[in-house]
Amino acid sequence: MGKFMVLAGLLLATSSVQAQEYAPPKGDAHNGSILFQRFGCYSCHGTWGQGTGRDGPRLNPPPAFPVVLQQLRTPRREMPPYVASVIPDQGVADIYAYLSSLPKPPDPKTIKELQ
Amino acid sequence: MSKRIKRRQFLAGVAAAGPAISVISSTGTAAAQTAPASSVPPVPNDERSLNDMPPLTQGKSGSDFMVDVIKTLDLDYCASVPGSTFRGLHESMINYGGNRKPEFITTLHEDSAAAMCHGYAKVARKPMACMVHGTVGLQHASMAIYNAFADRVPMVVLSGNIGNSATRQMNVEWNHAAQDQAITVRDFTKWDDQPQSLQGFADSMVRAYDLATTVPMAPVLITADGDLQEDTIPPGEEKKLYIPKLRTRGHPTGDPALVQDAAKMLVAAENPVIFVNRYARTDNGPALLVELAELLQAPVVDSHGRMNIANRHPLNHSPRREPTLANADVILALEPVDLFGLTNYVADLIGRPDLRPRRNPNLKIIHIGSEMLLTKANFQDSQRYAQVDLSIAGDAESTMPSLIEAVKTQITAAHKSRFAARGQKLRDMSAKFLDAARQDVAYQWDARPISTGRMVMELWDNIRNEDWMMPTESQFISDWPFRLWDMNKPYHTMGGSGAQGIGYNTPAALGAALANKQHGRVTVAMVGDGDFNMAPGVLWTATHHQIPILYLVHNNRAYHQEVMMIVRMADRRMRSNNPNLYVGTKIDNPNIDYAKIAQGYGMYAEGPVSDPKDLAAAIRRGVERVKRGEPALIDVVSDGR
Repeated sequence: MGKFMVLAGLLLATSSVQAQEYAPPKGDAHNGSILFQRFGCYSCHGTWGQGTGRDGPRLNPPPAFPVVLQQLRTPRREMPPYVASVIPDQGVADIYAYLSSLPKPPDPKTIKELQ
Repeated sequence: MSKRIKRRQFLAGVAAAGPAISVISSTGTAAAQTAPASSVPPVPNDERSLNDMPPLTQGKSGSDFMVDVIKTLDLDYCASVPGSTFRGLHESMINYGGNRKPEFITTLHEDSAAAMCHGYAKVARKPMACMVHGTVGLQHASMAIYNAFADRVPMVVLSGNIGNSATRQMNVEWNHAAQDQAITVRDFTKWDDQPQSLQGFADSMVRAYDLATTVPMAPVLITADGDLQEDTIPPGEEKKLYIPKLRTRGHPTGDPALVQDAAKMLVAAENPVIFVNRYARTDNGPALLVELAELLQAPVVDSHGRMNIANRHPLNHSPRREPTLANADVILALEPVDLFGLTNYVADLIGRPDLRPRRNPNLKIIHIGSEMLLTKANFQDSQRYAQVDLSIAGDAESTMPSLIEAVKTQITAAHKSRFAARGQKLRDMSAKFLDAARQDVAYQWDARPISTGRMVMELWDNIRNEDWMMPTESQFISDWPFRLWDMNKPYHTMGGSGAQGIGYNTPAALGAALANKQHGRVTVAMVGDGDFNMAPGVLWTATHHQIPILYLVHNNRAYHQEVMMIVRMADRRMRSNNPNLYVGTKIDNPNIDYAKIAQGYGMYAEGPVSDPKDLAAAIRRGVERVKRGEPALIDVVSDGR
């Protein structure tokens, strides 16, 4: 079973109202890019948050910050947990800032190799 | 002693005259013997000196006859690392046999030789031979043999053994001899033998080929005795020898009555689904599958164990695997391998709970396959026992014509109308698959390290107008080829390793390229750096034998699957902030320069390519080399998956 489906389902099920109630804390995108590598996030979600099919969903753009935080702390299904003693909330904020800073993808119709 | 004394027997006589002290008599008492005067063996009881030994083999050698036998079996190639235990057979093959059928392919590791056989057979649709040294060579080859066994692919493994302990030379030949060397691989071969006569060799060799190529197919091992290989065939014996004719064989097919039952269930179903894994065995397999799917207007979910169905066929719903299976009220599983996994999922969590995926509570499962026809006890490739509603033992592809005919007889006009509506819905859904995949790959288009999607699509752009084949596994590159390429020929891909033994892709791809060579196909192999480093010597084999193939090294500088596993363990234990997190899983410091390695083996190579903008031109130059009949390699510094 694709793990991405599990997380995707979780993300969709989370209330957008709840997401709007919590603005993400200020984060350092550069440090977030380092943490994204160090904690192995890239290994399932891709270095650029692009997702890797069945291993991890796309995180560009990221879902709302509380959704990301909740999934990290108390993941559903198979994603491993990241407790606060491992990644403090500020670290999560930095990762979130990194994911939020990622450029939007080009339109596939503009890429010759994809035609 | 006879004037026709053999060298090995002569030496054995020397050894046998050693320091016997006493023996136990039949009455149980020690019988005193004359104690030797010295620990130095006495002079052998032979009047001749070594200079009087016949220097030339008179007449035909045993291994010449062995080659006669092998030549009857349609074996085009024999991959091998030379070894003294089969030196007679080696010499006969290249000189007496003219190095044709089989042609000797020199490899630098026995595992590579066997893995080449694995890849070759899946393209050529017939086995290739490998020849491995006694004991040590067979041990080297064992992982590749296991992979082929688990993948149910035929292979003829030849080995040598100095079976007679009295004729073995000192030291090395003892280390390379065994009472029963086949035990090393018996748990994962279909059959083996160590014949004791030339006639026995002929019988066993033909039997081995017969068994290997009859479903369920698998590797076989024949050990050729060293003395049988090297000795002259006695004049009186040669005319008695004969080579059995290989039988005309069919493959086991499903019970006709059960096939009728299966047809009724499929036609009556609201939402039948066809699940395939190691299904297609011949070039006709995909066409038969499409015929059945179109008759039923049923979706197909493909696990890619073989090239089963075109990835862009509108009834191929593999990108919607879970929703498709969840909606099914009847699943027809054709050579599924892991039948249990269709309705169960053991999660990678503490305690490994069985998280059953959503399935129709009234789901019925029909299984047609040959898995249960070859199950051994020790290694657990049999997978977990699964409950099904109708299980039909037999080769799925061979059973398909009768199943299609049975379905046709069941379908009425009312059925056709219902099926057409079902098919239209499926076509509407699959029309969106390609655009969704293009959108996915665009997200990583300009990424550095180069994304696997970019690598795959730059390669596609360079081969889409060629007659191509991609023999390597794609699960470590997010299955991009199946999502984005147009794969529609029976040879466009060939499935995976069988047992996930790393080190399969690099040599198996070369075996596939060897089979593709006569067709002029452009073989393109995307291999992980972890896989490549298990068998880099195949680059020399590719260059030496001028086997055209383009290797793209997916160089993510890690055992990436294991990176993920260790991170998972550390996360569970709240230790993933430890600075040692990547000890043992990264392949860096120093970074390996794969282009230099390839160049050292005499191969054209470029890289490391780190900028995605440089990749297209590098691949284009590599493909040009391959089209000229040469091998080439591009080192692509790439993202994890």
